[in-house]
Amino acid sequence: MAFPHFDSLSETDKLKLTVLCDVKKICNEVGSGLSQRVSFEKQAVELIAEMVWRKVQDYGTDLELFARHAKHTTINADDVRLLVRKNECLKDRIKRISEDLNSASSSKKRKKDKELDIDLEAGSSNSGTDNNLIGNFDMMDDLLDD
Amino acid sequence: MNAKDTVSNITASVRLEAIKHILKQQFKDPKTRIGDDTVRLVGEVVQVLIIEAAARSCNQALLAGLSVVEMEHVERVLPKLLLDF
Repeated sequence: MAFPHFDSLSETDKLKLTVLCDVKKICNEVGSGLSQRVSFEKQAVELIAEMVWRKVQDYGTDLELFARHAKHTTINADDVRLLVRKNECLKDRIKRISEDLNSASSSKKRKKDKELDIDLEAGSSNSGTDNNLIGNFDMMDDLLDD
Repeated sequence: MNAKDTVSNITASVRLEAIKHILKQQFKDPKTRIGDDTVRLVGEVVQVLIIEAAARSCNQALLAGLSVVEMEHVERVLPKLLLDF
């Protein structure tokens, strides 16, 4: 029984396997977290994985079209929110997470910002006030957009 | 549908790298890009999708008095699930 080596598989098959693996893990965790332990047949997991695979592909196509319609080439959080507009719960959840990400990334960005500061203004100090850092970052955003 | 608490309790998650690659495969315009934060959001949607699929099929199996989820249980929840996502 010659089993193909993982490296010999095509990119798509590798991705499919990754999805299948992750779906299996999540399914098992959901099943074991219930009051009555539930296990999954292999085919059931494969069916869910196939559904997820096609769904993510659909998401890819939709997101690109949403971004293009908004005349952007980079897909942003608003496009994802448009994607889940029909599901109230999910919409709220995504909104909350994207706000969390925005506020959480400010500390990460600050670190990155310091590095950029060194590049941009080699002479000046990079331990400026928060206001300065944020101001600089806005500028960097504009630069990156172009 | 008490998604908030249950979803956060699940430690296994989808690999964001994989999601990013699948999304990129679908892009027709090579100029289209996607940021890591945005991929995280899509990952979250996919995570909820998988958990819902699993939970609803578990429910179907339990209703049928079984403790093993078979393909027909997933098939039964698919139409509603696809309408919700």
